[in-house]
Amino acid sequence: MTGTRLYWRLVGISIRSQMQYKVSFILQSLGQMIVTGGEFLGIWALFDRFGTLQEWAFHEIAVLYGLANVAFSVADALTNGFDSAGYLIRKGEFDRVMVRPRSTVLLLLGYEFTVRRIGRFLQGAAILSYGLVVSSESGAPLGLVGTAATLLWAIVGAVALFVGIRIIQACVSFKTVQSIEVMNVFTYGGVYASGYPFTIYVRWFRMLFTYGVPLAAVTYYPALLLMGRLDPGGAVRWIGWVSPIAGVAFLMVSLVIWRFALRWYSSTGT
Amino acid sequence: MIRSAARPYLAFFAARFRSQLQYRAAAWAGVVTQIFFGLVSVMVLVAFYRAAGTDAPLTQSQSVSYVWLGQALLLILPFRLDPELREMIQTGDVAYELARPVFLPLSWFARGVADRVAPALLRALPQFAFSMLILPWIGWEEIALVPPASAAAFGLFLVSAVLGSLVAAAIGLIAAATLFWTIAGHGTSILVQTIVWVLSGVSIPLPLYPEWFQPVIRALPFRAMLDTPFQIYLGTTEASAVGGELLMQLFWAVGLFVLAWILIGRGSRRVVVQGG
Repeated sequence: MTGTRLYWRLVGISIRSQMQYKVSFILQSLGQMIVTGGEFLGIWALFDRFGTLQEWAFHEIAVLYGLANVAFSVADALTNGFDSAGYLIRKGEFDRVMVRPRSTVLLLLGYEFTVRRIGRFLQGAAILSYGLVVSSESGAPLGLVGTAATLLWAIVGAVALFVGIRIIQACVSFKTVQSIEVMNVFTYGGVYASGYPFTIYVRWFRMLFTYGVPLAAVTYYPALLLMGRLDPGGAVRWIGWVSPIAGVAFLMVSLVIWRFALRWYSSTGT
Repeated sequence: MIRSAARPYLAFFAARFRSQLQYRAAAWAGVVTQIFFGLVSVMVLVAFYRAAGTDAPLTQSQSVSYVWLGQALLLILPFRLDPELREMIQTGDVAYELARPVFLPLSWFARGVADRVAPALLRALPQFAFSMLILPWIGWEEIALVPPASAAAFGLFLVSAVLGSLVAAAIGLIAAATLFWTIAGHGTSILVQTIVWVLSGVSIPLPLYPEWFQPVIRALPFRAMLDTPFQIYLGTTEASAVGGELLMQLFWAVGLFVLAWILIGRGSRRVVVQGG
């Protein structure tokens, strides 16, 4: 069986097993939607109070927030295996992953496809659509096809970046034998931070999330194209069509790190 | 007499408090994460304030301070159901609890208070140090936590924060009591998590919500957990009103505890303990 076919087989099994508890699945998805919805309520309230966020309007924040959440929900659904790496190592389950004649990355990606993440996905998609519709009313910047292509490319880049972060997070757990809460800074914290235009942050913070963990490259710059405006920081307009490649590059680097990190692995022997 | 009656509950509190203080490494990791979230929130708020000269009910530095206080005392909030109580109710081990010669709602309440106060205390001190001392020291006064309005305000803030923990523990106890009916508690978890997030003041400072929404906030108990102590700290609650605010917190703590007591009483009659 080829790697891809094996992956789809694993995903199929995982989805079917989660669908054994349909009511629980529906409630958990709805729940996640409500929780993330509550989060967005705060953003709405601040706009209600202040009118604008520097030169940014509510629908523009909606584009950024929606893009970040859609991409993160997909990455989150894909990477439960990496997120659980600390647990797998402690339980000795990771030995079983190691002895199988398949790539560890493939097996961990196939560990679980977490369907209930659809709650965050739908909530993000609704807010993203709202933002895109209002943006296009004020002078359709890219047209339908252009918007769809730019959006898809941005999501690919952002998903790759978040998957890469999760892989590095799992590498760290080889050393610590635990999942480290600090890494949440880059996953949950990353989604939170990229829900706002990066121009509002201080310089070192912008640099960290542009060149270190290139979140701005996969959310902020493509989003500028989607909302049809220029970067107040003076970046060229087309940068958003190129920059999502940074997310893909980050994923490549994380896979290389993964290969080295596997050598640190020593079984917990349980 | 009162002392000997209170003794078992104080012992529950002390034992739980000490065990919660053990998780120091987790606390440090939490501090780093919370400082990060605090920094982002604060930069966002500052950007909103720069946008427009509005007559917001809080000044910029008060809003910023409110966020830092919220991060420092975040763990007071009853975000999730006590996993051990849930397991007890799921497995039927709750029968042992019911058999103990103590007043169950109060022993669970004592445990809940310890669960709120100890982790918050561990995280609060490094965060105060960061937001009040380190930020101005590295020249970032704009987003620093301002010192309390006065020494008296600080003392009353501490009293109010303790009362806030009691309110939070009572809300957590009500949430736990629903487990007698729902067993899994997913629904309760989500409901509590969302309500607490939106209405306690950690999502955004409560005074910044629209004016038409303020009466709703004032009528509900959720602001009694964090918002009341924070407004005392910042001096936005006038000195003459502080006494009333503290009484209000006490009212909610007692009222919600009584409600939890009734729920636990009703719920525990439903318990079916599976043998085995």
